Amino acid sequence: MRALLGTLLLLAFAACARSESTSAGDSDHGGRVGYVRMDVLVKSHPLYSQLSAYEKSIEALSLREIGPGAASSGNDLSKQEAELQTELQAAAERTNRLLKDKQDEYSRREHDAIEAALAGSSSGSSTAQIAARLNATAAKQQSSAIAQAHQDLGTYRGAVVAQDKSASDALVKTFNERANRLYRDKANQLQAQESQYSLQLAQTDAPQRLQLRMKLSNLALDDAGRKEAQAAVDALDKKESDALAVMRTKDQQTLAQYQDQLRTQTRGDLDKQLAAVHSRSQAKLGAPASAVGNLGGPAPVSVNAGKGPGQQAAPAALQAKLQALHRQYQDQFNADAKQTIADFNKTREDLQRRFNQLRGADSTAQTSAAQQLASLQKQHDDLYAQIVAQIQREVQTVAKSHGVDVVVSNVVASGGSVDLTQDAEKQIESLHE
Amino acid sequence: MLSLPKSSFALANFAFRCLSLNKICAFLLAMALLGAPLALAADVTDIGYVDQEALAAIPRFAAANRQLIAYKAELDKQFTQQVRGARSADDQARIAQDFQNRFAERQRQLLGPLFARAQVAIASVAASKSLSVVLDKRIVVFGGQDITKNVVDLIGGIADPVPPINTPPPSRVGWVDQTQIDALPSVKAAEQTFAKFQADQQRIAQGKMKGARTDADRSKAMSDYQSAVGAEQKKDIQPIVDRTRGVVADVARKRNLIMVVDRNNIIYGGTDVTADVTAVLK
Repeated sequence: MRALLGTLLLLAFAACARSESTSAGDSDHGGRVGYVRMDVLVKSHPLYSQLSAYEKSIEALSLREIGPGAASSGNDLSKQEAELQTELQAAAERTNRLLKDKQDEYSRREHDAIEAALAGSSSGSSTAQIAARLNATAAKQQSSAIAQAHQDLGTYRGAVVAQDKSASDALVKTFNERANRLYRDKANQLQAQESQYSLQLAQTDAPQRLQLRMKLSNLALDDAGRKEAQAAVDALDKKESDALAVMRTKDQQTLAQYQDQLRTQTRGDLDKQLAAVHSRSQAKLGAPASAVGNLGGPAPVSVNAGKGPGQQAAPAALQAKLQALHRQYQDQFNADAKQTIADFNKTREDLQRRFNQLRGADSTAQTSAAQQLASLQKQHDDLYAQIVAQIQREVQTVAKSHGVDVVVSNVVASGGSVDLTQDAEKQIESLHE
Repeated sequence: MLSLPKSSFALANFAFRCLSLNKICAFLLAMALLGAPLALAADVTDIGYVDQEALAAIPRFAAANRQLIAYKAELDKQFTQQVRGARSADDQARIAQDFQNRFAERQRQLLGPLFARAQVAIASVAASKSLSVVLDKRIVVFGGQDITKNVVDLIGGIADPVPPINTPPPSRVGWVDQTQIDALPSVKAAEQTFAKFQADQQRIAQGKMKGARTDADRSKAMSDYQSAVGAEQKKDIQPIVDRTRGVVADVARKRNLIMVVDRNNIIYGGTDVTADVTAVLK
C-alpha cells in the first residue's frame, strides 16, 4: 500500500510539475519549443529598407519587361512588316503596269511612225521629221515613267526613313534604360554595403557603448566622470561617422567613375548599333534609286539623213532603222522592268532581314531584362540570407535566456509553443542604435 | 530534469494532513491521470531537421539537376519561338501550360527515383534517432537535431537505404496541407477573384509603365498598382487567412500540439491535422 502510495505521489508530482511548466511556456517563459514570425523580424531589421527597395525594383522590372504586353510585340512587328511589304509590292506592281503601258504605247507609236515613214518616203517627208516625232513621243513616255518611279521611290524612302527612325529610337531607349538600370543596381549595391558597414561598426562598438551608457545612467556619477563618459560616447559616434563618411566619399567616387564608364560604353555600343541600322537603311535607299536612275530613258532616235527622199534605199534603211529602234526600246524597257521588279524584291528581302534583326533586338532586350531580373533577385536573396542569419543569432540569444531549446519560424498556428517574436524584435531593434 | 514547483509540494502536504489514506490514494490517482497526457507528450527533443540544399548538392542530385537545367534552357528557346506566334492571350496560356507539363514530366523522370531514395534514407535515420518529426532546415531558427550528414551518407552509399519497420511515433508538431485548404470552394472563389483583379491591375500598370516618360511616372504607376492590389488582398484574402489560422489554432489546442506548420516544411513525420481543419472550414 505504501509503495502504491509512493508511486501515485511521484506521478502526481510529475504531472503537476509538467503541467505548470507547459502553461508557463504558453504564457511567456519556460517552454521548450518556441517560434518567431520571421516576416515581422525581417521588417524590423536595419537593412529591411534595402531589401524592400530590391523587391520594388524586381516587381517594377517584372511588370515592365516580362509581362504579356512584351510578348505581343512580336505580333506588332509582324503586322508592321506585313503592311510595309504590301506597300512595296503595290509599288512594284504599279511600276510593272506603267512599263507595260509604255511598251504598248510605244508599239502603237512605232507602228504609226513606220506608217508615217513609209508615207513620207512617197510624199517627201524627211526622215528627220519622223525621227523627231518618234523622239518626242519617247521622251514624253520616258518622263512619265520616271515621274511614277520617283514617286514610288519617294514613298519607299519615306517608309525606310520612318523605320530607321523607329529602330534608332528603340535602340536609344533600350540602351539608356539598360545604363540606368545598371547605374541604379550599382548605387543600390554600394548603399547596401554602406548600411552593412554602418551596422558592423555599431556592432563592434556595442559593448563599449553599452558600458558607457550604463555608466552615464548611474545617478551617483560625478560631473567629471559624466563629462568623460559623454566625451567617450561622442568620440565613438565621431569615429563611426568618420569611417562611414570615408566610405561614402569613396563610394561616390566609384559611382561617378562607373557612371562615366557606363556613359562611354553605352555611347560606343549605341553608335555601333546606330551605324549598322543607318548603313542598312542607306543600302536600301541606294538600290532602288539606282534602279530609277537606270530609267534614264531610251536612246534618242538618230537622224540618218544620208539618203534623200525618193531614193530606193531610203525606205528600206528607214524600216531597218525603226525595227532596230523598236528592238532597242523593247529590250531596254523589258530590262528596266525586270530590274525594277528585282530591286523591289531585293528591297523586300532586305526589309524582311531588317525586321528579323529587329525581332532579334527585341529578344535581346528581353534577355537583358531577364538577366537584370536574375541579378536583382540574387542580390535580394543574398541580402535576405544575411538578414536572416543575423536574426537567427539574435533569436538564439533570446531563446537561451527563456530556456527554449528549439525555435521554429513560419508556423501556421501555435499550440503550446512560446512566441519569442516580440523579445527578438526588441533585440533586433537595438541594432538600429 | 523536471523541477518540482513549491505549489505541488504544498498541495501534497495539505492532502496528507487532511485526508484518509484511501481518499489520498483516490486523490493522487485522479491527479496523476489528469496530468499524465501532458507529462508523457511534452518531450520535444524528438524534433530533427534536414538541409535540403545539402541533399541537392549530392552528386546524383546535382547531375540530375544539370540535365534538368539543360532541358529547361532548350524548352525556353522553343517556348519563346512558339509564344511569338501566338495570336491571343488564350493561345499564350495554352502554350505555356503545354511547356510546363513537358517540364514537369521530365522532372518526374529525372528526380522521381532520387526523391524516393532520399525519403527512405530520411525515414531510416529519423527512426534510428527516435525522431517524431523532421523539418526543413529553413524554418528551424535554433535547436533541434541536424540529421543532414547521416542522410547524405546514406543516400550517397552504395547499398539502397532500408526503410524503417515502424511508422513515425505520434508527434506534437502538426502540419496542414495548404493545397487542400486552397481547394475548398470558398477559398478557391476568393483566390480567383483576387487573381483576376491582380491580372487586370497588372495590365493597367503595364500600360502606364509603357507610357511613362520619367522615373516619377514609373514610381507612381508602381505605387498605384501596389496599393490597389494590397487593398484588394486585404478585402478578399486576409479574412480567409485569419479564419484559417484561427481554426488551425483551435485544432492545435484540441489535439495538444505545440505548433502547426505548413506541409511543405515537413520532411518526415508530424501529425496531419488537415482533415480536422477542412472539416471546420467547409
